[in-house]
Amino acid sequence: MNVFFSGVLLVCSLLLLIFSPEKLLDSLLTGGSEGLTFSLKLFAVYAVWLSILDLWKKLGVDRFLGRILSKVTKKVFPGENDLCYHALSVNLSANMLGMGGAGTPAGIKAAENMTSKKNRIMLIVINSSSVQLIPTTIIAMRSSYGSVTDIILPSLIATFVSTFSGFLAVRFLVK
Amino acid sequence: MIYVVPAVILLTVVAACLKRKSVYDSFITGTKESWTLIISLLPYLAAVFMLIEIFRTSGLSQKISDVLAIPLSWLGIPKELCELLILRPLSGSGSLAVVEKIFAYYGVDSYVARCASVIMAANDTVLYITAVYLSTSKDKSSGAAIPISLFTSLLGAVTACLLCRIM
Repeated sequence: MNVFFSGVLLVCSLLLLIFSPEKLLDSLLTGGSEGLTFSLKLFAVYAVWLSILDLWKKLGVDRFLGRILSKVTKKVFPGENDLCYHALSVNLSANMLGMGGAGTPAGIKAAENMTSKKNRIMLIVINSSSVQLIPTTIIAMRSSYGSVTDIILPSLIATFVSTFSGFLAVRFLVK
Repeated sequence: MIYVVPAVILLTVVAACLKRKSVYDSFITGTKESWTLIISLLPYLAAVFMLIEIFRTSGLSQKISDVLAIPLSWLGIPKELCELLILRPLSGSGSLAVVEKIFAYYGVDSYVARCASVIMAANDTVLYITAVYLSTSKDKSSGAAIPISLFTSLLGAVTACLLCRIM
């Protein structure tokens, strides 16, 4: 992250310095305040979903999901504790159903409780390649434009290709 | 699919009431947790948003799209989608705005618009996920996560364009 961040920042500031120096500070400030606005939106989203997740914990839903998905999670993320596996199953199942609001906080908890760095990279790669089965936002947007063609099947296949290739890459390339 | 979220919330609350669990307490706990989470997330989000903003205003994103247009066309990705391909790993709202433009300009059922939709579905915002998922971990180094995720995003996009051509 540090290499990536400094590299992009360096090239961008150089470009701005040459072509429009007045915009450099301005765009950093805009970005910073956009980050704050976005955080406040996320606060509301996570407040709702962390409350639901807390109820799930009381009802034992996370343990139930953990049992169903344990075959998969234990294979993909070997050698972690139960707390981590429960969070992982909530992360994966919520994201598959398109409930990112519940999936992300669970993913953060899973990453926090992970002991293996390779597993953490696996978690990031799998989530970055999207595990959502039905792309609800895009479908809603398409229907608002009066779409007549369907994109669900190609989306499913493309999601599978990107997620599975990510899994293979981490499994065989990361030490 | 619009029924999934309301149904999940309703079912959870109904089950909690039947089992006599304290719903109000859970909402207080959840909101408290959300507040601490957001406080620890804020610096990461602000830094990532600064980078995205400067990436766009400096014209670097446009320049990279222009340079990548030719090699990407060899992979079967139309040049109209280069900007989307660059923005998708960086910003969810930014890439949605590009998709909206593509829908309006080329028509929602055109080849380019269908490719854009499948690309959005096949990939997620790499940079944001990396920053957020590691925000509370002790070990914050992302290792090979970003390069691998960017590669799988490209692979997802190539697959998306291929599938839209044959399906």
